[in-house]
Amino acid sequence: MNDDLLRSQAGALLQVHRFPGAREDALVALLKQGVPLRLPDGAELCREGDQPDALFFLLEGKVRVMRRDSKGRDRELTIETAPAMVGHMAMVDGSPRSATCIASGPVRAIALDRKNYQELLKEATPRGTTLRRLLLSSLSQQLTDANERLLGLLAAVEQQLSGDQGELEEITGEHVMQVAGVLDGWKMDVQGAQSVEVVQTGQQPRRPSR
Amino acid sequence: MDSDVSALSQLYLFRSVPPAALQELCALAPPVSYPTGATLFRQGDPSDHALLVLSGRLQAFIHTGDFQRQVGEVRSGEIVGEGALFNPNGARSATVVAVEPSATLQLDWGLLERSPNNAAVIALEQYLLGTIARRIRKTNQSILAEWRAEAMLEQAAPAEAPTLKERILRLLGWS
Repeated sequence: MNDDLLRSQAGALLQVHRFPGAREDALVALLKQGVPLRLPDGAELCREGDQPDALFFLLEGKVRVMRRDSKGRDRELTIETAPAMVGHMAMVDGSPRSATCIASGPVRAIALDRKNYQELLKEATPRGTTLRRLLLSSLSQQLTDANERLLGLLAAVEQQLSGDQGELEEITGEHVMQVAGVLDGWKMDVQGAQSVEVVQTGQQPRRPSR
Repeated sequence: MDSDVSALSQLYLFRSVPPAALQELCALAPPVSYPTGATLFRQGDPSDHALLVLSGRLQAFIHTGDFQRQVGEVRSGEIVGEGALFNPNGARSATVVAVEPSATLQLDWGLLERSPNNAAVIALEQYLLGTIARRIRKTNQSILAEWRAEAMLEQAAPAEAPTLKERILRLLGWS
């Protein structure tokens, strides 16, 4: 792949994701570990439910990120526009793909396969550092964005509730506060309507969850 | 400092890290101790550092209007306030208080810049990747549940559509 494209998109990606020690040449070295891809409009980059085998650096073009709802309909979550990292969440935690990514127009990307990904993750090199911190910066921002989205949904719901009877208003204040805990990624461990203990995600709850 | 290195070597996240790397981390990350009742972070304050807990116990609280609720605990071997390391212009999302005398190491952007190849720093980064990924999964599952409720509203007869109260309860995992 053209070095100029790699370098310009590496620089642009580092403008999106800032982290300590960010270096353009290190990101270019990282990108060169991957396989260049050219996708036509409508081509699938990855499919919801599949086991992850690569993460993708979007260098040119856009992808639609789709997810199926409870009725089996594909709903668009977002559109990712280059430069962007796509499919990295599943690679980090090994879970199945949470969405389907489809090229919207022609797309150029680089795929970093699992073997290279896992080796780079352990490397004490500039390109290894770049991969870890790029992922951390991206995940950190993703969590913030997801929290804001959820807060927006709940704010809309609460607005509608504010016109209801007093009983609902009283509950809503408590519920909104508890949702704030959910927004921060804390796991809900529910004992009853009057008492809720929240434990940090990843910890074992001290009492059984509902 | 030797006692800090010893404490770090007992933590699971540093299980494969050589002592020399832990020593360097201790030299670069200031140790900070908090007595019981001390406030480590205050909700809404600028976030400029994270803390690695070596011993003791912290609790996190969220304040909304007149309500205060505990939202979690942080124990030895865990990190709190890690958003500051990669989103330095953010604000603290919760108030964190020491409920036991607690010893910590302060981690900041400068530490990561100065020692990117340190094995302990690499171990921290790998640990944080797993932690943040788990939080994202949890939040996205909540959003997905809300979307599913919306789909029911569109297709079900009005009498069968979930009420707003039911949607909130579902969002919280109470139904």
